[in-house]
Amino acid sequence: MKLGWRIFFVTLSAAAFAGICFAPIPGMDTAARHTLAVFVLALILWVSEAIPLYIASLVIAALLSIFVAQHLPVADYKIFLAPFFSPVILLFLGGFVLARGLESYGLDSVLASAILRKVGKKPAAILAGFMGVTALLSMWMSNTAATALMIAVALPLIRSIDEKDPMRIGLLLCIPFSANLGGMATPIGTPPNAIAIAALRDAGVQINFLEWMGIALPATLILLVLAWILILILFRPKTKALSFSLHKAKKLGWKEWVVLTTLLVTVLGWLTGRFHRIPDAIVALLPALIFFSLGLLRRKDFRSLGWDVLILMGGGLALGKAVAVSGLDKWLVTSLGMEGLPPVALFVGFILLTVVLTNFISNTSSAALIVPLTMGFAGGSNSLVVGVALAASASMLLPVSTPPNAIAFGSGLLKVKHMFRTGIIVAVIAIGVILMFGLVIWPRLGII
Amino acid sequence: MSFAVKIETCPQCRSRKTENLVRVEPGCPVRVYVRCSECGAFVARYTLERYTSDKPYESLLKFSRRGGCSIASRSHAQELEGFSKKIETEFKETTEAPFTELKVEEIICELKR
Ligand SMILES: [Zn+2]
Repeated sequence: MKLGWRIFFVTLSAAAFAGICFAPIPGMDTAARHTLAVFVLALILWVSEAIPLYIASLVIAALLSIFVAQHLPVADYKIFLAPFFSPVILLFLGGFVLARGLESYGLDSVLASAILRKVGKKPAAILAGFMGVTALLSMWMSNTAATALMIAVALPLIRSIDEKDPMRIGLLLCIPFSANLGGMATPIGTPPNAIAIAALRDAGVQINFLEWMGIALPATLILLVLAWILILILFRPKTKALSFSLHKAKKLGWKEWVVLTTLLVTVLGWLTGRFHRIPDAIVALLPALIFFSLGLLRRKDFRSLGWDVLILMGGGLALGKAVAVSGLDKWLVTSLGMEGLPPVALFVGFILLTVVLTNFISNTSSAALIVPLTMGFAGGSNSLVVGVALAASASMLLPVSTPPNAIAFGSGLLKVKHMFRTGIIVAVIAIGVILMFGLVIWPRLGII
Repeated sequence: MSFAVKIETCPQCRSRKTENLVRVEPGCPVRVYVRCSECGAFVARYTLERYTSDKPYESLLKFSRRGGCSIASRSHAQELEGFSKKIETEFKETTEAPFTELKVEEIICELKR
């Protein structure tokens, strides 16, 4: 972005902030008004990306500390700093370390090849294999990393397919889509999930690792299957059989075994939280403890762990906290007359809003902006919060919607229309599935 | 001056023919030792942040695997999308720029100020 535009958006956000801070809004107390000002500033900065997203997060925390904290019943600015090291941040940090360990020792590709070896030669099965493995990996590592790995694995195969065969496009396209969908399934799959978990925790609803998977995994699986069918229909493979070769499996040394065992123990620790009662965030420290004390990862790895993502999330969590404690959420609900709306309309409205927003701005910032707004509704809002988090992963339309899409697009083999036409259908299917789960299945099962 | 381009010359024999010896070592950044092809003298060492080959897309996939280390912003996505193109144009721009006679240290000082 040109410097002129950056200055324009920063000035605009500052002006909006000042304007709302000093505007007398009837029926709104100071804390809520100042929070609204910070919220609008965050909206402008996160949408425009005039300054880096993570720096905007720090600005948000600073403004909340200065302008909102003093007007709260218990004036303590530290409640806006604590989110930066909250349990979900720690959980994510652990996930980053785990992923780094897998990647550094090439175990992600070992895992991918091991599964792909079994899929056979039928195009539909190969497509399913790639989608399944991508989604599986992106449950535990970042969507971007999973996409990059799987496209690297798929590229020789894609290039070997006849240029006129639509399967080429289908295979390339299925990878970012599966990575985006796979991220929905675990708390560490993608930051929006963590934002929802933290918001619910603040509202007194605890969702542990296994519970999140119980809520989100079925929806993810259904979405994956539907996306698979869609890609098979839109990009009907012409070949009957494809053979592809994978790198020969390398022999695992003791370090690789340590990393694998750590992965297994950590995941097991997350899934059995209700028995041992050690919080997920603390279990997440195990990989760091093992990898760094045994010298499997080094300081350089630690320093490049994605702190920008964590800081961005921290700002989002702080904003969410402020919206809740200042009463802004309640004010929005009552003053905008949303109280009287039927819950179904609200649900549909928020999910649509999230899907539209997330296709134009970062998934994390869209969740950080919308989740707090949904917290003001009494009754049944829990499924809405989770629904919004899942919807934030539905960035399927454009190359710039999310880095996995961009990576696939960087191959030069895709056209924007391929991604857009397919992506819009996947997004609509995602909306449908989220609505079905959020309005019917989750409430029926009483899981949130 | 937004950027400068300098062709490395051998400090001993002033030759412009050099060889790049790429040293890869686990746990360390990749280092490139530049050796004079004429007389074998040490010319310079570069420490790489990232290696990009003549197949930029494959290089992009390699370093994008470093999970979690990149923020999922739109500007980042744009960077990834235009990665190969950018290298192409930057290479062209670099080769077409007038070459400076300054020492590399001097250019670095000048531009970082
Ligand atoms: Zn020489």
